[in-house]
Amino acid sequence: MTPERVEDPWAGRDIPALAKATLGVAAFVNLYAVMRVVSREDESIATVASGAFAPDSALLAPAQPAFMLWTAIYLGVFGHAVRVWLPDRAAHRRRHKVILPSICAAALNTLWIVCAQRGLVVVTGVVIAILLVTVWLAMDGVRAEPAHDTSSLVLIDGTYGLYLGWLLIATAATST
Amino acid sequence: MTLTQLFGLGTDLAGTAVALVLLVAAGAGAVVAIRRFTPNVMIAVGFCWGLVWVVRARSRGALLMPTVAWAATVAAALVMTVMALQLEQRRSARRTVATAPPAPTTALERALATRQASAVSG
Repeated sequence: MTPERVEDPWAGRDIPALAKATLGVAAFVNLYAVMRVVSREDESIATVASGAFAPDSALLAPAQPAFMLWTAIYLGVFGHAVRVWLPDRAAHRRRHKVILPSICAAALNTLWIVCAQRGLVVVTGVVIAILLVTVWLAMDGVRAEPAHDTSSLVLIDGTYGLYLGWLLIATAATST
Repeated sequence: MTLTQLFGLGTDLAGTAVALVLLVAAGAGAVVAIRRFTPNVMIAVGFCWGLVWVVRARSRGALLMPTVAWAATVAAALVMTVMALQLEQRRSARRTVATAPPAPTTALERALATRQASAVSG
């Protein structure tokens, strides 16, 4: 009796171009929103809402240099958005699992910036909690599939791992 | 010098208690995440980076000096990662034991196992 051959459902199936484009747009808008804050086109998040997001406003608010970590995270997310356009048949399954949470995470991150700038402190708390769950789901999606190359390891496991660790403390800080 | 002042969290006891509970919850979340997504050390790096700067922001004028804060937080991060990885190792060891086939108990089973082993070794 010959062993039954199990077909990989993701073999040869890349993610739709629409999903790739959505991730690209979400990551770009996110980066644009951040750059506006960094370049002082928009008001600094630390000064809005009567300084609700300033380092001295809450007991668990980190000191200002902590936010440099966002640069590494945004670059990683942007790199991931670029990487999905490059051909890689071995990574189809991982890409499928992580694409939707990645799009949601980028969109939620932009929403958090917009809400913070509008001074909606309570809404930012809700948004960051949902963002935390989204990034957790992104990590959970790729848990069973070890990265097969360095770019996947750095851009997915590295970026979203860093993102998750940072969000755990940022959510607690926002809640205080 | 009160306990809250020692940790640089101010004199509001209720606020300090809430902050510490949230911090412990975040730490527990980080340990669960490290265990679940083993061996992703970047989770510990992201968490501890935030923790270092929280302690740094709170340690101004308190006993906990920045250098001590840095050293303590990094040490805590390392301990947290090692503990999480050890827990994960123990869990996988238990899984391996649970899925291993039972050892032969009867004389017939032992004879069969010996025959199979000698057939495999050639």
